[in-house]
Amino acid sequence: VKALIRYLRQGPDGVIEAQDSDATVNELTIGSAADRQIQLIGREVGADHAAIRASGGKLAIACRGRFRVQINGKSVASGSLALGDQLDIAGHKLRLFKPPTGFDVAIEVTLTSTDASEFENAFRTDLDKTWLSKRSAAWLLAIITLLLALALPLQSVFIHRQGKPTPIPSVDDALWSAGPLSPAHELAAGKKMQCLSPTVVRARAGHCLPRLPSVRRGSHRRLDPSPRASGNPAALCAVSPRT
Amino acid sequence: VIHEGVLRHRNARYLWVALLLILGSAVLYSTQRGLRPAGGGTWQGYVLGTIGALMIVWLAWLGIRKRSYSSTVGTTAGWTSAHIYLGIALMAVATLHCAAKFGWNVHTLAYVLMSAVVLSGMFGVYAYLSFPQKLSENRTGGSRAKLFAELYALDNEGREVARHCSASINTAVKSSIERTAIGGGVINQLLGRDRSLFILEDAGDESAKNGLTNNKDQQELIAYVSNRIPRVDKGVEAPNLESLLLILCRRQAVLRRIHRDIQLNAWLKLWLYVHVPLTIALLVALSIHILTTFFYW
Repeated sequence: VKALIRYLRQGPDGVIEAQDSDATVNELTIGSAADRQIQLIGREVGADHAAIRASGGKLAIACRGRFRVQINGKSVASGSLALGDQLDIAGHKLRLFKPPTGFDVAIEVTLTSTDASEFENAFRTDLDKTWLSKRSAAWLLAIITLLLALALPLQSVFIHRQGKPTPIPSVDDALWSAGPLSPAHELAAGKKMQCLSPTVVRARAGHCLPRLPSVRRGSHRRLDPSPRASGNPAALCAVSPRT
Repeated sequence: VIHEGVLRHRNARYLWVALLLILGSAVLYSTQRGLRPAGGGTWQGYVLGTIGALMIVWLAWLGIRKRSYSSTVGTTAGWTSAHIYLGIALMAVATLHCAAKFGWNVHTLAYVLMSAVVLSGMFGVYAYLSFPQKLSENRTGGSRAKLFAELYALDNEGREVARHCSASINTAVKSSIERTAIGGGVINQLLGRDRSLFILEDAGDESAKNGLTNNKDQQELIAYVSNRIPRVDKGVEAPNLESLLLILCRRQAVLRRIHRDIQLNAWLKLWLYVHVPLTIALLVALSIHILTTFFYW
């Protein structure tokens, strides 16, 4: 596409000044980035906002991503263009006029007075404009925590009940145990325990529970006499098969 | 903006609250005697655990409080001051709660996440105390918006002057403006990396691919233009090149400030991308910690 771009600017004395430039390109790009053929700046102008293409003698405009453009007052994401059509992008007016000989397209650009500081929008100058996202990271970490600390150990409880080994041995309900002395044993305070387990384990007080699979609420009951009370340092974890 | 005033808010009231909390927790911890070893399973452990859990929920609440501009419950500065001091005190409360007993379990996971949240928050405090000063110095009292407005004006001036120079100079300047890299991805922002390029039509060395030459800090372009000045017609092109050189040097100075501003701002905000997600994960882990504790009751 051989394009003639005519910028119209109002000078300090109120006189409209025209500045022509030409470009030979596959498509006429519009946006706030400095490398666009038509550079428009503004809060609502994307770095790569839209492009005008010529195909079979006809012109069409297509916006990038979520951006939109107004053609003769109608907001569209894409559309065909004809001579005399008025385009509006964030207040900047563009008008197609009859191209002089040697040009395929001619476009007149009237820039609205915008704050030049909005040129920043042409660049990614903040972490918020990158792939980093606090919300996504929070969701991801929350799901990982739920999965590793709750779902997988819970699943292991059911797998143990079926007498099968867990797929990941280190991620089972032993992760829920606070340590060698479970709160239940602690509250039993020196009582001898009967643990519901397929095996009999003799161990120091409290040391039997954490290593047993699927230790659940109510799965152990107190037996007398207390090993501590009787001076016996060991607790007997006796046993009955789980039903 | 958080500054030193937040730490000294109302004569550092929350520092004293935090110290009292730590002292009270230590006294409570020291009452754990007898057959039961100190830990989360004693009544003192449960009390410390409850205090810690309530503190975590309250501290996380600050995230919502900050967005509630209509709230009249305290000031944002007061809440932030309390958040900082009580957040640090939480480390002591939680450590006393578990009696520094750690293992491969969900309880330690909650502790690790809490520590990570507190440490990232401490970096945040450091960032808010040190970077705003550097940002202000870099902007020389102005704003980033002003720097970009200045850059935009210099770009237009540069293009206009270059149009009256030779084709190779015009191409070099125009391409340098079009290919000036500002900000970009996470790494580029954090490192303040400048990947600017420009087209050097008479590039002789092999480093230039398709005429594209590295223009980091705009130095190559400035050197190219300044080297041309002694070789051109003194009457016509030399004055244009001299004005162009002046514009390019001003542009270089503005770009340096912009790159530095983006870098400092990225570091200033980075900790939040760790602190916030870890806080959410901590709340989940804390819920599981409490749930499993009562599961074994």
